[in-house]
Amino acid sequence: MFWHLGFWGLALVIGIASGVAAVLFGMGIAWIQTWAYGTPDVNRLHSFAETLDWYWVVLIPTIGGVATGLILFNR
Amino acid sequence: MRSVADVIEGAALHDGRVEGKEGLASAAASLITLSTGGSTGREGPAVHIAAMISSKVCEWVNARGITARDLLGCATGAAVAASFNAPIAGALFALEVILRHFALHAFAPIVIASIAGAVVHQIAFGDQVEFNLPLAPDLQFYVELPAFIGLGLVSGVVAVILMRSIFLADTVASGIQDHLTLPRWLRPAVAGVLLGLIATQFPVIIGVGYETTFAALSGNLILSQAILFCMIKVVAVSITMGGRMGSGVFSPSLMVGALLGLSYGIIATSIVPSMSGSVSLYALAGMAAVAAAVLGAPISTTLIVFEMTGDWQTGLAALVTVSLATALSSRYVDRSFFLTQLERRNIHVAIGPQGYLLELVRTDATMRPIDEATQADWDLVEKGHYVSAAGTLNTAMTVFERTRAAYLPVVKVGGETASSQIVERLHEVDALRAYNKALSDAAEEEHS
Repeated sequence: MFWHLGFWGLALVIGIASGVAAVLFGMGIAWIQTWAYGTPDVNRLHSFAETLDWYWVVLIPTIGGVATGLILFNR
Repeated sequence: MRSVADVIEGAALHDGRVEGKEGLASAAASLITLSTGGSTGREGPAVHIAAMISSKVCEWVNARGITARDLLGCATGAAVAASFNAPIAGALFALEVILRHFALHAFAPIVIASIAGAVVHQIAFGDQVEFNLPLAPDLQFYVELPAFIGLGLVSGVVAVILMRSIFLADTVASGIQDHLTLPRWLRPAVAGVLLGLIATQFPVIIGVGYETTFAALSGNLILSQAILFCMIKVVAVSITMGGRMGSGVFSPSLMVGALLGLSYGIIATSIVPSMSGSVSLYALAGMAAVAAAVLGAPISTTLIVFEMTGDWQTGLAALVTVSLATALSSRYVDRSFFLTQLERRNIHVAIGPQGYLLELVRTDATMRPIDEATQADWDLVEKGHYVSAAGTLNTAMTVFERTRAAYLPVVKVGGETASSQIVERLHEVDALRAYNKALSDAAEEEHS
């Protein structure tokens, strides 16, 4: 009986924690995008990127790619 | 790179658990990829992060088997629910994609967790839908039905093209990498340069792409733009995935589908304008259809559209396209993108438990001890008719099939100093009994 109560409690706790993680992940992306591209509104990122100089548009994903590579494969 | 496929593998093969250390690195990599112009999705990493949370909790409370898998379902359902503010879709995603069954014991806890996830979303962002459509799409549904059937089939084909081109990009990139002996960390960097160059001409490929998805759903693009963006997005997603920059395929398939649906809708409604509803409806239905086919998730994707729009008629249109798209595309890949990914890694969970359960039972769990090996045992070993104690029943069963033997000697292979010895025997009847038990446990889990 207690185990069952515990199970339902765990389901709820895991749900809250996973929800928080998913929301924070989305916020983290928006936060870094704002910083990297300097856009005032990430929901308008595509329109904003058109106004950037071309070298920024190339440089940002390149640096991102290097960082991703180092995180994933250089350990 | 860890993602949804690894969560499905964890549910099927690893007691509902995923690996933490690699997972954290993947999450960090996804975060950077998605915020610096990578062209993939954010829901896949969120699902994997949630799976890491449930794995940790299962370790703490020492949960195994059904309990651990149900909790994994809770975590993944909540992650999807929190990403889209869509608790119904989240719960059904956990069932149809992750656990791949609809048993009652899993349903209630997963629903509780998914609602919790949606509540978290609402606390953080308010009760708004991800895509706030300007007006409810106007549907002439019954007369337009043939057009939606056509859209379903086209969406299925495009979903196959999207999946195939991602896998092709991965194969080609691996070939180039081997040929030039590039260090592994350089591969995402090269992909980043390519994406940056494409983005100078087509900034729509940057990130998860919801601005353009929304523009397509609102019908704010012209036909040539929609077709062009659709093709460019497929290329950009393939480069991102082929470059091992990682992240999910959910948002890209939503974007490709919305653009495809809009293109199709503009063409279809211009042919028969008198009997046509709004193009938004086609964009929504196409979005659901491509995503459903890629994810192998017809039910949850239809419900996402319903939960996003809150409109039954739209849900109905989505249902028609989704069903045809999944029926078509599942014939040309191993059921879905994730299951095909696993097949490519030689992990065969796509066909269901009967295919992988034998792999989970070790030989030494079913073998019988013997006092001393007889000459007959050694004769069998001579002929190559034996199994090793560390192997699984999967290998043993193929030997049984080949040799038609009633039992096989179990050989402990000696190293350089010790000689090989026969320690036990594996009887076919024991192996079959173990397989039977595993099958019946799986059937019970899926129906209780």
